[in-house]
Amino acid sequence: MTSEHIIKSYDEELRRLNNAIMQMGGLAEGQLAAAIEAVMKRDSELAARVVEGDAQVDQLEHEVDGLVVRLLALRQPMARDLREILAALRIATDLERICDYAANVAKRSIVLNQSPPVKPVYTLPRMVKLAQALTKDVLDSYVARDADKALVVWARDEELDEMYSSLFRELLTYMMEDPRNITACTHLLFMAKNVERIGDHATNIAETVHFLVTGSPLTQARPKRDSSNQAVAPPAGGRSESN
Amino acid sequence: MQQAARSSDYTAFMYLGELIEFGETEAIFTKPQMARTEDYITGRFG
Repeated sequence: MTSEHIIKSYDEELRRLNNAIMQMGGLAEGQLAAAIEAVMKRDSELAARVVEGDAQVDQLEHEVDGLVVRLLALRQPMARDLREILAALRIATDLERICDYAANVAKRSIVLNQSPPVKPVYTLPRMVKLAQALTKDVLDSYVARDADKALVVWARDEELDEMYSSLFRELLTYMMEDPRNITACTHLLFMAKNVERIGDHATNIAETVHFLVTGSPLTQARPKRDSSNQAVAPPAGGRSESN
Repeated sequence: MQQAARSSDYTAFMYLGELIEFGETEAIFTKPQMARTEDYITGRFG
């Protein structure tokens, strides 16, 4: 916010909106970190806490909704103020989804803990680390109102797509090796998909930040490298085609 | 100001007798080019 409004309470409301988003962002980062710790340490108790913690984020999202409705109705925001408010509404939705995915990862880790560990569990944290970095950087770009920084996040999601595709292939081979792996690997696959979606929401936020700062939407198509939708299991006994 | 936004095709913003900005109403109220215009329509002065 560059300068102050004549009506001070308008500024106060905008600040509250901004703070609520920051709080949600902090929670999202925390939930994600706790979820992956629960996976790595096979800590079902921590995972359960992550699942419970999701309610707090939902609560904050409702708070943002209420603030936005109030601001739109009472202040008739224009130009940049209007974009600030719309951006907050959209970012809150994305952050809520990110937290849902974190909770989902935690929930599945509880199931995963009931069977012996499978090897690809160790690839997942690398994906989560990247998803965390994207979430953190995009929130930083929101705080700094920095469209360029947001664009960097927007382009980096490609890396996460790539990691997901390779984990997808890896899990397929594990499942073919030994059908007893199928349960654990399927859960891992969904967890990886959730993490990949977190990256997509981070790019959504990046697009919103870009719109907030510049006033125009990002029109280019985002580079995508998720090829898992074309992956085929290698024929039994044969080598898989690499692509 | 709300009336101008609702009922016009073009909007000019004048301040102390000088033309600050003129353009399509939609552009003036969503993405004004001049800081003075933006400050006025967002309620920062005037």
